[in-house]
Amino acid sequence: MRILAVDDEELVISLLKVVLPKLGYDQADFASSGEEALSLIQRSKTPYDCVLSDIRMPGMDGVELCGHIRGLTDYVETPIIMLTSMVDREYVDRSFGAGATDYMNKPIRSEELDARLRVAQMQRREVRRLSAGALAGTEPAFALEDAITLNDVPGFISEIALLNYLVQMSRINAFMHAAIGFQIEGVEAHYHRSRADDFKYMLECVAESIFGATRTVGVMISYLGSGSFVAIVPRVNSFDQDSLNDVVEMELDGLKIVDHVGKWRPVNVWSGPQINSRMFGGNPAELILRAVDAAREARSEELQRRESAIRQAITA
Amino acid sequence: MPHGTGSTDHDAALSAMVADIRVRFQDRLVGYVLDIEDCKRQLELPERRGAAVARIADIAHSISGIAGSVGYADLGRTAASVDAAFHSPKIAASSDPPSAAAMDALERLLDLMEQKIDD
Repeated sequence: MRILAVDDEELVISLLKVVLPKLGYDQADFASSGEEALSLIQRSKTPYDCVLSDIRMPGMDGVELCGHIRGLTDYVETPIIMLTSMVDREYVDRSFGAGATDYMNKPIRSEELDARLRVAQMQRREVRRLSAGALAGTEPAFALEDAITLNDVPGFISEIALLNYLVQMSRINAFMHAAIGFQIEGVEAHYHRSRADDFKYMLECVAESIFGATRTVGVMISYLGSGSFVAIVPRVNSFDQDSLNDVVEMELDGLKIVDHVGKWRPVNVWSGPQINSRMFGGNPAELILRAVDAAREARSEELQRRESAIRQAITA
Repeated sequence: MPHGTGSTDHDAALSAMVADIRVRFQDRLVGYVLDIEDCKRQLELPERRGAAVARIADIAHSISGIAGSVGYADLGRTAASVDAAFHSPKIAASSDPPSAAAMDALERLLDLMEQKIDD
């Protein structure tokens, strides 16, 4: 795995030059500023597999650098780990908002860095697997349960970045979030009847609709595979489930989802209730699972309600 | 790392390299102490206060980023608290001197820096 490490502190760079090879990462380049990092990226014949970046640097700071890198075609899904002594919530929010996938606080501990880099490596392999499938023209290029990354959706972050964000928030005692799950109705049928690009486009439209329905409160949206989405919102808000369903439906209607030949592909999405995190000792993964389960239950309840209404109509 | 080298040798080599970084860090602390003492004098002058606050925050930030990695966790934590107390555009732009709590934290940092220089 080729790593680009960026830090204006010469001693941190010296330390990384010692630690990274010890962890088995012999291919690393180092930059002392955001500007130098971008220049190395532009000159590199093959893209770096992972970027480690400090935040507070003179000139272009790490968050700005992260945004620039994320905007480059070859770096849409590259793991970007912020390596910083900044612990304020503002920096965590800004970093993940700019496309960071992980956030690690200094001081550098080699065991922790190793764990983060291993996750980044797994993430990289998964992206390569999906890309290889797409290039080979194999359909579908991803499994129904794959938590694929959706492009150009405002507020969207990958599943792994979302978990890292929430873990970081709980570390700094700023875990004041709620989760709302969303489930695409009949996703298996959509998946099996669609081309991969049509299915992915549908997911992007659904994510955009969820963003449209929740954007007023500052939201992060992630796709978890199998037609399940989760939106993370500040827990001070209280979304009404029925109203949310209506707004998402309206947003989806406005998007008019069509496939590659222009055929209309209507999609129904069910939201679950807002699930608030526990104030203390909350577990981010558990919060997300509870939200997703609640959305699936909401969908089953709605189907049962419809079935019973039809039965009543028939007997009447 | 050549094949066949034991992990103990590897760890020893790593420790030696980190020790070298620690020595460079200690050398740098001397300059930082002088810088901070100079900034403390400038804090008395309202027209220079903003620049002095920003410089203290930068020094504290540099220290907090590296100290814990070279075995000085206490210094790293204290530097982080000074960074948090001084790194704010509001404080840098204010005509008031930094709070007593911020100055106490700065004194604790200076004490610890001097201890590490003497290590």
